[in-house]
Amino acid sequence: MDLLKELKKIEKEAEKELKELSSLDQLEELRIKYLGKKGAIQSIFSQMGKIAADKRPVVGKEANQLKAKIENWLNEEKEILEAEAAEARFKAEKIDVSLPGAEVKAGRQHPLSLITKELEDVFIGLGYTIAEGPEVESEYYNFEALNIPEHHPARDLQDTLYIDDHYLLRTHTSPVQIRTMEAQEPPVRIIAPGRVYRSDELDASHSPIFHQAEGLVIDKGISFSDLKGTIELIIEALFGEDRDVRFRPSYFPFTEPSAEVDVSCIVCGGEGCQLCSRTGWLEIMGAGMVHPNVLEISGYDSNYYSGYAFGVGLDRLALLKYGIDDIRVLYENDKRFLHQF
Amino acid sequence: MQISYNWLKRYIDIDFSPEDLSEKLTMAGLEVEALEYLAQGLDDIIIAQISEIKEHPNADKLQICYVKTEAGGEEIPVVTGAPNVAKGLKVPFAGVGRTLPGGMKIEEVELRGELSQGMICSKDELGLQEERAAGIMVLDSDAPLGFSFKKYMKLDDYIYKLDLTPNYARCLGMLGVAREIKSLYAPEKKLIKPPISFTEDQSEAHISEQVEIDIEAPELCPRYTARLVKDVEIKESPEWIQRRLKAAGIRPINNVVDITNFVLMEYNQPLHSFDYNKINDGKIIVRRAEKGEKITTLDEEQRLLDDEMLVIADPKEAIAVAGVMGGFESEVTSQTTDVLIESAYFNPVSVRKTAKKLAMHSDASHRFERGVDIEKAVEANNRACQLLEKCAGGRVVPGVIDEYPRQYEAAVIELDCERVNELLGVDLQESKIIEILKRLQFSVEKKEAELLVTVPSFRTDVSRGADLVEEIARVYGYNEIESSRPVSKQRGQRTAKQNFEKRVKELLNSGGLDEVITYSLQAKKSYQDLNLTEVEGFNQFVEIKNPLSAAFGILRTTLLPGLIDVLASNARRQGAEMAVFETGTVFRNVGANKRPIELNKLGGGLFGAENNLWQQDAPNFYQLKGVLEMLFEHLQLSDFHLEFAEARPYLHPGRKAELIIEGQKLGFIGEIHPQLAEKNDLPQGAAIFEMDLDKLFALSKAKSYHYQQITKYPVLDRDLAVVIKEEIAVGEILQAIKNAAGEMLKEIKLFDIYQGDQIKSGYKSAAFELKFQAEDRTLRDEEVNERFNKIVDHLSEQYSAEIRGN
Ligand SMILES: [Zn+2]
Repeated sequence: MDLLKELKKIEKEAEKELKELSSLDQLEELRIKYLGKKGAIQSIFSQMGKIAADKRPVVGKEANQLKAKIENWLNEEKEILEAEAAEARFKAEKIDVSLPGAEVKAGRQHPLSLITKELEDVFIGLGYTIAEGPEVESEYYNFEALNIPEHHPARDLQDTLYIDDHYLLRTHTSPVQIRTMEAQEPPVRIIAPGRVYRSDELDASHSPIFHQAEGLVIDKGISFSDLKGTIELIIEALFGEDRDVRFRPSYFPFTEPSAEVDVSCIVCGGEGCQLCSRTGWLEIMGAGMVHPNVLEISGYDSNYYSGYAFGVGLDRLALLKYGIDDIRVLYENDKRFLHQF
Repeated sequence: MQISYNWLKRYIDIDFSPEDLSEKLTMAGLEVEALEYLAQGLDDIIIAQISEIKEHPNADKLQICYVKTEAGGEEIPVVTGAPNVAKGLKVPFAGVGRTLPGGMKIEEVELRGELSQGMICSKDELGLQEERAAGIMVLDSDAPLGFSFKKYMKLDDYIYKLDLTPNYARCLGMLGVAREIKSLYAPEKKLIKPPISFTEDQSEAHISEQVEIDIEAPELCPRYTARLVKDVEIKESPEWIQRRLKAAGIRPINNVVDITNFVLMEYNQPLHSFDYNKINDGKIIVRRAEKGEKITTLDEEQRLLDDEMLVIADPKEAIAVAGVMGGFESEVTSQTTDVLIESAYFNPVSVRKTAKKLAMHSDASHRFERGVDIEKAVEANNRACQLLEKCAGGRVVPGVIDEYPRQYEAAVIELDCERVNELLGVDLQESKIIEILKRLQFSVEKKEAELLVTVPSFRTDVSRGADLVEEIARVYGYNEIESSRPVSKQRGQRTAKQNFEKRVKELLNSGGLDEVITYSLQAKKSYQDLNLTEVEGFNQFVEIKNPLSAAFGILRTTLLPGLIDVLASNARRQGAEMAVFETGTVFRNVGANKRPIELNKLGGGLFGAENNLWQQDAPNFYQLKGVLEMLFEHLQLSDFHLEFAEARPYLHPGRKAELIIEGQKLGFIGEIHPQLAEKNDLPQGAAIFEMDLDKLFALSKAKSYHYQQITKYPVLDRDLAVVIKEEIAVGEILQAIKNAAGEMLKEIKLFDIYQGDQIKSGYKSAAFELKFQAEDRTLRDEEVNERFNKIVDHLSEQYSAEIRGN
């Protein structure tokens, strides 16, 4: 029996069969056929006893080499087949990435909330805290303590909705100034956003209910130039760096000096257009140095402390910033509107 | 307040362009609301004359006018339908190629076969009146042919509509505006004062022999001056006075009334003219009205007076409401010959109260309320006399009566220049501050380190240092002041409650609810429509005393009507689904003249959910409940359950519940009552909730994050399906399982509810997935089985539950 010849034969056969391989299953079959416990190579080893002892090492060596060789072949082939199988699988699993994603319904923030939060965050960054006050107010907080005596023409500046002889709906967020001063000692640094009411007929630019944010800073050495710098910063934060800002004399009973703040028109940039009534400017907020009468009525020493205050209409800010042309849209809550924010 | 550019130039010879002046006024604090050019679009209109008129051969109502624009010039045919054309009339004319104020260009046309080469204009076509004119505008016969129409009409003028704040009382007259411009922009110019000289008729007895003035209430009338002018001829005032008044928006009436208005506009001093012969005994008494006294005012309305009001009276009766409106009886009429001119100062608060009580706001009361220049009373009166002499042929009686019981005392303000600089953030020299104040006609004296500033009588708005600081800033220029920012020593932040509310909103957003903001003023009717008027709390309406309309008549007591309106209006617009929430204040009336309670509420609602969870056919309810469960879970409020609600008539009787968190009732959830949904255009099954946000905050405040070691031992799953009577709430079974299972049960989840063929009628099956786990060891099957059996025993004992598929 020539085992060496037998080995050669196995080798040839294996080589041939390997070439014809087409699947990993077949490969496993071949592995068993040649390398398995009852496989071809093993049968050579089991026949070793039948040959001459001096030939055994040679045959053993050859058989081992063949075993290694076949094993090598099988592994190489396996790698190739596996790669092919993977490729085929990936190809079969290809998807249409252009199909729409699963619908996730997250709700939207109301634009008024959005602008309020934006403003609050700017002021928090400047060291302000957020203050609040009731919407139903007394004459005292809404008018008298703000230096608006009962029979003063300044009362005409705001049409008031009354509840009875004592209470009214606050016409501005300014009462929060007084409530804050009553509750704490300087330094004061607050912003107070909130809902306010006026007896104004509802139309595209007026609403009996709207929102304001009041700012108040009181400390030793607060100046009009501090007020200017703060407001310029706010406008930059809300409307970007390209806006011009101007201050012009105005009148609020609770500030002196008082100023109206204009920003260069966000539509025409100052050329003049319909939005700005051809003036190139948009009135954006009122501001001023806290009137000494207001400081004194709340028990602050007006010779030692000074402060500034400002009030901005949040609805107007939202209209300008988001390009909305009718204030009523804010309160209609049309889903098609809400889902734009 | 409305002023004309040309008129202003009579008092100060400014050389600013009209547009430039507009900007300057606004920047001085006299906000220009509108600037109008009176001759807008009239450049092309010239004066022509109709030289001949012919009948139109083909149209009854049309005529052919031949006009010429220069003597001996060519005759231009114009076809017109105007009824008032006549040969020789001077008319405003626009030729071919010219443009009318509206922008229409005149073209050569044929009208029914006749050539027309221009247009004879009517007042409305020229923009001179709003309503349609009956015919063409006819000019005086001496109007110069071919001359510019706008120049001839003196329309080449600009009108400034000023929005004057109460502190600009001094600018309610032309002289005041001129003075303001001089102070701020043209200190080198001189103010041109109106002429006030006239001849007193020495043949007349001195006024003090003909008129007596008695001020009984000097606190309300510190000064009263009067002059008497006789033999005036009541007629139209001259064209120039009428033109000025029209420019100021005042309707011309007759020369006497026009002159008083003219002086009012010049001096900001309201005057009143009485028919002298109707004043009994020639005696004027300035007194408080008697309670219940009556007067018929100029507008022929009878007014009921009270003792807080000041009247001008003769010995018999009141003849004017002081500073507000004259009386009908003593009015100047076409028969009047002698007029008494009043120029006085009335107490601002008193005038304001009176005008308000009588609901009579006049040009006079507007000015007295804001304070006029008490020192100028006589000068204004003299100016009126000068004009009455010139334009009404009157003879001025010698002398003036000047009752001045409370002499004006100028306020003197101490001003610390250092403080001025500190407040403005500038560094002005004392000399600069003095210069500014002097420019504004304050007189300044130095007193040690301070300035003593005397306020001129026309500055009724200035009373303390801060007012002067504003004046200094105004002249220096607000925009010249450098910007700075105060250094903050504090940390900016939201309060815990504000952060909580922000978080709640963010969580609800992530749960798919859109934030809405609705009106807090509402109609009572919407509460009736929703059956809310009988509900305790919801019916504690705070009513508005002076509402704009019934739609804004009350303050909301709940967020419900607003939310339902949002859902309904979106449903009407064919929205298939909508999910919303709102946070906001609601108000509750707690009795007359008591401060209403303000509650901070969170509400929400949705319709259009599609997941028919648990086959209950209530997808909206369970969707909304799911959102709330998510919210509470995130807020670490695990002890939450719903309890079927007995009350709440606005909700579906079988689908309503109280929200119970940690044992407290915080609000409700449910489907809108089907009949109310129907009535309010709301889709059936829409779900809604409302709860108290402040209470929710109070409960969540105690919570904080604390890390729990993650258990590394395996989980053992068991499914449990029980058959129970259908009226038993699954939530109850769930709680019972938890109680019986003890700590070993880490999680329990309902995954199926079944009623049908395989279950006997009147029963339902509920299937739960249970997860058991121990913190300290691997649980053995036997342990879990033992516990599981305990649960089963408990359920069958307590609820006669049968275990399904066991
Ligand atoms: Zn613009």
